[in-house]
Amino acid sequence: MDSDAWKIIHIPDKPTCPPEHQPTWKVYASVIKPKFANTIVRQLCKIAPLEDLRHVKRVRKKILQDHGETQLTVILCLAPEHNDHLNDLPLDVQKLVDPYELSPFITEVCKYAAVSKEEWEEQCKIWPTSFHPPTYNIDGISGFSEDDTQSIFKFMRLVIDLAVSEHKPIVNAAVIVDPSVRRIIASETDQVYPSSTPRDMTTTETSPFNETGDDRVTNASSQIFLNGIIEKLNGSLSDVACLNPWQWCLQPHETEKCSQWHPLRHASIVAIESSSARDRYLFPNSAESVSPDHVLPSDADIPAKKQKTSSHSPNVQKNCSEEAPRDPPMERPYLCTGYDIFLLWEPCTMCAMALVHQRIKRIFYAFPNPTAGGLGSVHRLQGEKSLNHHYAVFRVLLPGDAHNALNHGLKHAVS
Amino acid sequence: MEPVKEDHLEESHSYMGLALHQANTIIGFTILQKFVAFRVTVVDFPRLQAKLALEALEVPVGCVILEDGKVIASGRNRTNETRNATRHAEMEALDELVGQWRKDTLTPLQVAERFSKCVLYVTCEPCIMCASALSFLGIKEVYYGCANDKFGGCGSILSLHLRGGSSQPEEAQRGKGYKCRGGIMAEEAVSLFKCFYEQGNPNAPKPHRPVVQREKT
Repeated sequence: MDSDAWKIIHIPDKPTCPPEHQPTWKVYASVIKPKFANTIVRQLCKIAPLEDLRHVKRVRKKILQDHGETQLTVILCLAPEHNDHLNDLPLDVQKLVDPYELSPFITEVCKYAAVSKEEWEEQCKIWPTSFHPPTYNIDGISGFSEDDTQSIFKFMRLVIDLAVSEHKPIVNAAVIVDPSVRRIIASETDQVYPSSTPRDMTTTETSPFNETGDDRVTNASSQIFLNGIIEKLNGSLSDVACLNPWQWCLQPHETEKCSQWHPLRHASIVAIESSSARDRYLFPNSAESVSPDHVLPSDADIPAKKQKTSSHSPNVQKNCSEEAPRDPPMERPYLCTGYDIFLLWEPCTMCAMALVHQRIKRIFYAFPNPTAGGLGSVHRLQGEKSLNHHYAVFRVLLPGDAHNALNHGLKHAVS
Repeated sequence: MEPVKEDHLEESHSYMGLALHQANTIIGFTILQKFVAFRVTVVDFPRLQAKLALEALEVPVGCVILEDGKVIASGRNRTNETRNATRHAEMEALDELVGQWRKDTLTPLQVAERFSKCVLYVTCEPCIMCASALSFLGIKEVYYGCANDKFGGCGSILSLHLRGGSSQPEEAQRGKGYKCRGGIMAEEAVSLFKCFYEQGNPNAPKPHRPVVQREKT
């Protein structure tokens, strides 16, 4: 791996494990006679449906080497995890044993659906499963175009600028973006401590991010740029709200001079507030624009994207001509549906859940949050099935030096 | 969790009654709005009615915060009104307190001391966001009505009221956790929800589709 390059990696719903060591569940299975197959499967689906194992094929088909005969094996039901006895077969299933001449045995199947072809191939060695390449309706999980990649890097640089330049100690920063037009919806930093600069939120008249021809992220340019943050990362990280959410009262700050401090005003929370203030400001008359039909569908950005990806030449003119017709009938968003958020640090569990509530589509962060992270480090909200909304999560890897500096800084933060 | 003593239970009920009242102001407001909507119906019915309904409806959740047995703050859900889905009842009440204490020029350390004496009564189990916030602030105790089996952060989905999982020394940094007890006047809280959802939530995107299931094509 080239440690000098920027890189985007997807943070999946479940912790990654090597394909050959995937978690399994025990099940009862039995070889069946092909003539009974239909009847047995129909009955089993009724009495022992495999709700959490939809990716597992109920019937395994094997061609026997010697006579070329087909052998069918069916999963009867889940088996107890810590007990290898066959006596625990549920009564309903037990009733099928004699009529259909079953001979139950215990075997294993993979617990979770495969997320890659490699995983799937390993799974099928244990018991056949089905595999659907992750589409998820969210762009980027199966890779980004060069154009999108550059845009993501640019927004991440903006986040770094915010986090570093406006404050003495480094803080977390959050930039909410409408990716369909690459427009900044909100950009904020932590406001937990009084040193944070209060900003006027009601006039967040946003403009498309200034895309000039020469700010493509090259290794050389990013190195100069990153020197600033590397210096900060070597220092104290104790003001980063999401990293130290319980320590807000211990920081020595002068509170008298500023009335803005608030223990819960982490960058994501402030940015959400700012985006909703923008929504109320731009669309004061809610009834006219909120007919559900006007809710921005998540794939509304497709036409714009296609135009952009068709050209790798500088986008300046192109953007101007694209923006013009889109601006007047600007549609009112439903919360942050379809928007991306860029953060320097993985958000804490409070912020990660706030982003679920506000319907963010994709989250990009640069550094993990080992103390309170809600997107894989401590909890993993993108994998919590019960939530009513799910975003895709990506980590933007900065060049190697930044990470070495961070690790150094993190040691300070927890000591 | 330990059984609540009889006298304490009674006390819980009276505070939960207050929290329910907070939640109820939402419903009450809606009924008033509906009445107004009904009167203008004759003139310009479909649009105005939709407008009034949209502006007023909120998922009915309310809460109160007590310090030394006195109610010092209250809040109700204002997510639709603010178009900010994080404006839950708990956040409203907590902000009220922080704002007040900041005005009184309390230092962060003094604010933390005050929170450590506070008890929250809320009609529905705090969500993952609010449960985290309550942990960060170091609240003393939380009493809630019905469980929140989709978003609950006090036992239903995550257990953020408990102290950090492992016993490593740096876990001391992860807050001390708070006492939490649910099921207080849960039926009343649920019936408020029913009342709301029977009217439907017009601010939710339509059609409301279930989460995309990766297993299916």
